[in-house]
Amino acid sequence: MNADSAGTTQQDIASDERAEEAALIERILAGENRHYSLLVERYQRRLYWSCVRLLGDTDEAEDVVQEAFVKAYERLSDYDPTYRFHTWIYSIARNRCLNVLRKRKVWSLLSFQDPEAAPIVAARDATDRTVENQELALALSECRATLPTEQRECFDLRHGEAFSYREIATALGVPEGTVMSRLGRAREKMRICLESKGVAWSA
Amino acid sequence: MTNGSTAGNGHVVALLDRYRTGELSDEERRHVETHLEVCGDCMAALADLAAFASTVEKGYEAERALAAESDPDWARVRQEIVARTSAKKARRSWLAQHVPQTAAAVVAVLAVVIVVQQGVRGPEDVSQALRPTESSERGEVDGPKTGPPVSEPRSSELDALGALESETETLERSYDESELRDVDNMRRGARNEELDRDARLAAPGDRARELEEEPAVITGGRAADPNVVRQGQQEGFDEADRADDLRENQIAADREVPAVGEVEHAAEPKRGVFRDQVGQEKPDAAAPPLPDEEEVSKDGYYKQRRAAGEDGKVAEGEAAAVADKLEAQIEVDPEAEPLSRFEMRARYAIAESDTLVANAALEFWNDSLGAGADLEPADRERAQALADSLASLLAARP
Repeated sequence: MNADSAGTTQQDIASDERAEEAALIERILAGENRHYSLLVERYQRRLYWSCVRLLGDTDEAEDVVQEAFVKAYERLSDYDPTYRFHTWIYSIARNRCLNVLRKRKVWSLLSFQDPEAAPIVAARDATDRTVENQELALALSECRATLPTEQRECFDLRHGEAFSYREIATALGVPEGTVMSRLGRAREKMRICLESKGVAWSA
Repeated sequence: MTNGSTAGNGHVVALLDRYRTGELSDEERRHVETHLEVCGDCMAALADLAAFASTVEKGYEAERALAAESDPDWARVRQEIVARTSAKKARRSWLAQHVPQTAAAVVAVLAVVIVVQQGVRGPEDVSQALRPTESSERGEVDGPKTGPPVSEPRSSELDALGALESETETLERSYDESELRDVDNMRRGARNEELDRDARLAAPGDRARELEEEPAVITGGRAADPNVVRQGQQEGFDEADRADDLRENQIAADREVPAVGEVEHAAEPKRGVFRDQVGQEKPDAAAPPLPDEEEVSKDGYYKQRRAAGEDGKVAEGEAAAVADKLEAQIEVDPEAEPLSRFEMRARYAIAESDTLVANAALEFWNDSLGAGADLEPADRERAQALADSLASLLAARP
């Protein structure tokens, strides 16, 4: 895949974002570390929900997010500005999530629970939200839970976080071809599952 | 579904998602566009994909909106992160404040010495005699190799941490989650590597320890030996890093990230210092050992167990009894030395052939002891023997 020649809007935005972040990080490394909170602010929530999806636990996800940002700060000079900061911080947080999941496995021996059970967004009362959105979110969450972990993660990053194929490949450390096939399989399953739950999309 | 009718156009269909978001090369994009002009099914597939993606994205947005009610207080989270990161800077500032004071004190002492040696000739002479000394002293203080005067890690630790860290970084970039297997092999492998390194570098480690015990000498006179040692290590790290980069995918395929997590734990508390010592500028270069990684994981354990209990999904009898036993046996004295805590866990695991505790003990070994720990040779040998027994116990009863 020739990465430099792509030229449409989304890529341009990504490129601007990278340049802006690289400049910001330069300033932080030069000693203006108060700017780090800007990076934290920009990504904390997205990172948090990525971790919640991986861990299925909001408290642990919050811990992981904090640890990941602290760790990223410590290693900021390792950041490669050819990637978005989001990709990098995600891969750091992801590694910590895997760590938590691994430790959880020990306890799953006691609890007989699936340590990697997919998170489910609980239905909430519909007072101030549209029922339609609630149903969509619930159907999405339930269908995602049926995917194998690696397909689900690719699908989440692609459609939930708007990562490019290359960014997913970088964050997960797999070839782009692997990302492509995981996404292909995930999408087919999701189509079937969402349709079965009455979710419609029309071209 | 459009899939059936586009079966013969798989090569183009496979590109549609990236075409949609502008990730294709010019050549690929032209290829897709040319094809779309003549392939109605492919055009329909593209439209369908776009509609699907848009619906799903709406679903994610709705999910986030619903979840917003249970969001943490982001301002608080941010404050905590900022506090933890800027605390490092504050410490560095403290050093920056105090190191010049130390230098000034040295200058003052030298002044007295000079005055005594040369006899009192008047203030002008004294200040002239001092000038070069003062500037060279400050140069030393500001120089990149000085580092914090205390808590210098032993060279064996530096080496082990460096190698582990580069491995961790590589894996952090490249781990494929689908390979959650062979944890114990990885643990044993990593541990043996650490110990090898430790043994190789025992002598420089002693040298660094000696220097640590002579803080007065460190400021002015430690430039020669330890830095040579460090430079040598730095070259080693660079080579290791390059090799790791080359092997990146291979490592991802062969190794285990869960084990890396352990490695990470072992390496982390001293990372700030380590980074400084090898001369790589870091935001927290002068920061002292960092945090509570173990506490975090322990909390995780306890929380998990509590959750299991509250859910009522645990068979009350046996599993709970094991948990209690675990608690009683291995957490008897959380204040005890890591070594004795490890030994307690290990002996219990071996006596009871309890793989669960064995796992926990081995993990504890990797997290808190292992190559990075400052153990007497006899202690290390004993602990290593226990760790080996644990490993064989686990190997025998997977």
